[in-house]
Formats: sequence, C-alpha cells, structure tokens
Amino acid sequence: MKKYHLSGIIALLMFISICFFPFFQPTSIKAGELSFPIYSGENVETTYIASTVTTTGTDIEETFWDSVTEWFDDVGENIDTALESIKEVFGAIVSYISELITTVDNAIGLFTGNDDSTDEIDDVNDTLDQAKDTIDEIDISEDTTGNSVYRVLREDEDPTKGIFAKAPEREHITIAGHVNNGGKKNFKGSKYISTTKSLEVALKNATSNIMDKGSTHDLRIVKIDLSKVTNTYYDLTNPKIQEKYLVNSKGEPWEKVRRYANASRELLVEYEIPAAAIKLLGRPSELQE
Amino acid sequence: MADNIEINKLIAVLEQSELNLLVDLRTGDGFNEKAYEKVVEMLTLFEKEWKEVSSIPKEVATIMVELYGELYNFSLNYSGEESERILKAAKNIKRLIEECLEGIEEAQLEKNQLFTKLFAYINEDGHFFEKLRSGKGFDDQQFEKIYEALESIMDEVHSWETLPKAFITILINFYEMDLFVYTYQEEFHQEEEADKIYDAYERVFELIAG
Repeated sequence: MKKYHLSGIIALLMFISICFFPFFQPTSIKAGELSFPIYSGENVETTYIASTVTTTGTDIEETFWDSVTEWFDDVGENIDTALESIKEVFGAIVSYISELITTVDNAIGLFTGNDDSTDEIDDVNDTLDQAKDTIDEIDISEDTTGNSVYRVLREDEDPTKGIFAKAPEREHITIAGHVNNGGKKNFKGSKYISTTKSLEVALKNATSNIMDKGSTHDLRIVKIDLSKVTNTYYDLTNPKIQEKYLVNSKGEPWEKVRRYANASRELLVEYEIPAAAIKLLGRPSELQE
Repeated sequence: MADNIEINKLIAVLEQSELNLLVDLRTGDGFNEKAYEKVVEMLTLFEKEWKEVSSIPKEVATIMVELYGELYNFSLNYSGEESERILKAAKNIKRLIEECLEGIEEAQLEKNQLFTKLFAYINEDGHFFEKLRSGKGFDDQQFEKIYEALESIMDEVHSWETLPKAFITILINFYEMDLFVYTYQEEFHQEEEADKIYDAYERVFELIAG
C-alpha cells in the first residue's frame, strides 16, 4: 500500500511540474526594438534593429539560457547585417560623389572639347558666372509683378492708337514659326505681336536694329500693362507654354525656338494691344537723361 | 570608328554649338567664333565617320538641313565685316555639309518606292530647283505635286532614326527656298514670284522643321 502511495505521489509531482513549467519561462523576448538614429535630412528617423530583454520568474531553465544565447546570436547577426548595410550605403554615397565629379568633368570636357584643360574649365566657369550676372541683371530689369512687358516701336507705329500685328490674316503661322522666322529679313509677319519681359532686351533692340544690319538707332520703347491687354497672350519663357507651343509639327520639343524665346524673354500678344495698355517710356537717349 | 556612346556625345556637342552660334546671332550678340569652330570640328569628324554609310542620324540631319539657310539669313541682319564673316562661315559650313553627304548616288534612293514620286516630280520639266535658280520662276502646279509627295514621305520617316543622305540633300533645297526670295526681289526684280516662293517656303518649312 505504502509503495502504491509513494509511486502515486511521485506521479502527481511530475504531473504538477509539467503543468507549471511554462510559467517559469521569460514573459517576453522581443526582437526588433533596439534602435539607433539615422539622419535623413532634417528629420531623425529611428530604425529598429534588435530588442531589449525582459525576464520574469525565478526559475530559469537551461532551455531559457539557450533561448537567450540564441537571441544574442541573432542580435549580433542583426548588428552585423546593419553595419554591412551602413557600409554599403556609405560605399554608394562615395561612389555617387565620384560619379558626380566625373560627370561634371566630362560635361566640361564635352562642351569644351578638351577633357584635361583647366583653362577651358576656367572659361566655362567664367561663362557660368557671366550667365548668372546676366540672369541677375534681367531679374532686376523685369517687372517683379510679371504684369508688364516692353516693346520697341517702329517709327510708323502710333502708341496712342494701339499696336497691331503685322499680318493678322496669316492665321496659319504657328507661335513656333513666328519665333523661328521672326528675326529674318524676309519674314512676312503673323497675327502675333512680339514683346519682351526684359527692359534690358528692349533697350538693346531700341539702340541696335538687328533687322537693319545692326544699324544704330534710337527707337521708342513702350511699357505694356498686361492686365489691360484684352487679347490672348503667351509668355514664351514659361516652361508649360513652351511645352505646348514651342514644339515642331510632330509635337516634339523644339529646342532652338525655346532658346530663341528665352534669350529674348519673349511674350507674344495676339492681333492687337489697346492704347489703354500702352505707356510710352521714350527713346533710350531720353531714358539715359 | 567611334562607338555609339561617343557618337551621341559628339552629336550633343554639335547641337549645343549650333544653338550657341544661332542664338547669339539672333539676339544681336554677333558671331560666336568658338561655337562656329566647334560646329566645323564636329562636321569634319562626322564626314570621316560616315563616309561609307548611306544614312545618318536624324538629329545631325536636322542641323545640316537648316544651318546654311539660318546663317545666310542672319548675315543679312549684320553689316560690314561682321556680315561678311557670317557669310564666309555659312559658305564653309555648306561645303562641309556637302562633303558629309557626298558619295551616295541619288539614283540609288530613287529606286526606293517611298521616294520615287518625289524625285520624279522634282526632275520633271527641267528640274524644279534648277528652274528656280535660273530665274524661270516658281511653278505652282509642279510644287503642289512635290508637296504632296513630300508630305507622305515626312509622315513615313518621322519614326526613322536615320535619314538617307540623298534625301537630306533634297530637304536642304526645300529649306533654302526662302533664300530665292532675295534673288527674285533684288536680282530678277520679280516681286510676285518672290512672294509665291516665300509662301511655298513657309508651307514646306512647317512640314520639315516646324
């Protein structure tokens, strides 16, 4: 009987041990919560690469230590992987910078035709500086509200009566065609009136007649208030307008006319500009005075 | 022989140099010697590069078609030495372009069905362009037939990446039609013919460039 009770007690104790075993395990082992900051622009992002460990319970079994050891191995692997990734990212950045430098060098070489010449590179830099100065000058001379443009008048034009297109009946001439052929001596005109957003350009055109062998002259310049222009006008320096109108017959970008329009800061008005929109500024000689 | 990447780089240099040259002339800034020299250098390279081929890239063809006509027109906007300088440069560029397009017989292209009609109409009645050159005036009817043939060709070649050399030569003739306007006004004193030539030029211009 005693023997029977002892074996029963042993069996009961074993049963209890098995039942309560899970409650002696750590309650949480979370992977993926150990973090370090990565700077991304102005924001600091936090990237999780591993976790902290929380243990509860008083009896830590060998299996638990196995888990902890495995977890630390995982953390180690995660750190190694993260460091490897960081290394790769830095490698990519260094490579990108090198490519960028090479590209700039090549571009300079390409446009100058001399890959190694520092003189040529200096020339390009000078040109860029000059271009920047020119842009600054243009910005100063442009109406900051964007509401006024300038036009140089021919002697036969009377601003008190308005300004009229040279050939309003020539409807078939496209904006791009007007820009491309407008500077040619034999151009028969179109329904568009050329104006410029830049006073600098207007002054240049008023003093040197490109349509008459660059002869010196002193033509009148008028300022046009676009808010009083009743017809449609097209700011050809606007990329969206360029995309729509400064294209060839197949709808492809037409780089040459875009460059022409940008250089002259061109804005075209359809058919006529009413007298109310025109203010006579005078001749360059008068403006200097 | 340069590879494709190298050729594309050289084409980009030619395009930029041409634009720099033309923009400066249009805005009254005068003749850009550096840009001109680059254009000459590139055309000389291409002449050697494409000596044995019958077609050349469209980007280069476009430049070849317009360059002499544009330069000639701009030379008229300047005076004295500057004008002469531009005209001299224009003529030199024309010579280089002609050298680039040499070597492939027009007869070869005439066999291509797409171009047969165009060549036939141009050659009719003593050659359309020869008649213009010699002051015989503008043949409206012949022009209409030529225009129709040219229109269908332009639709077809739009998707092509290269153009046959002999066809580029024809396009140059069309693009330079507006230069006859000066000849008919100043040399032949035929204002009406000059007017008709200009109108025809504008139609062709829209077809091949605009």
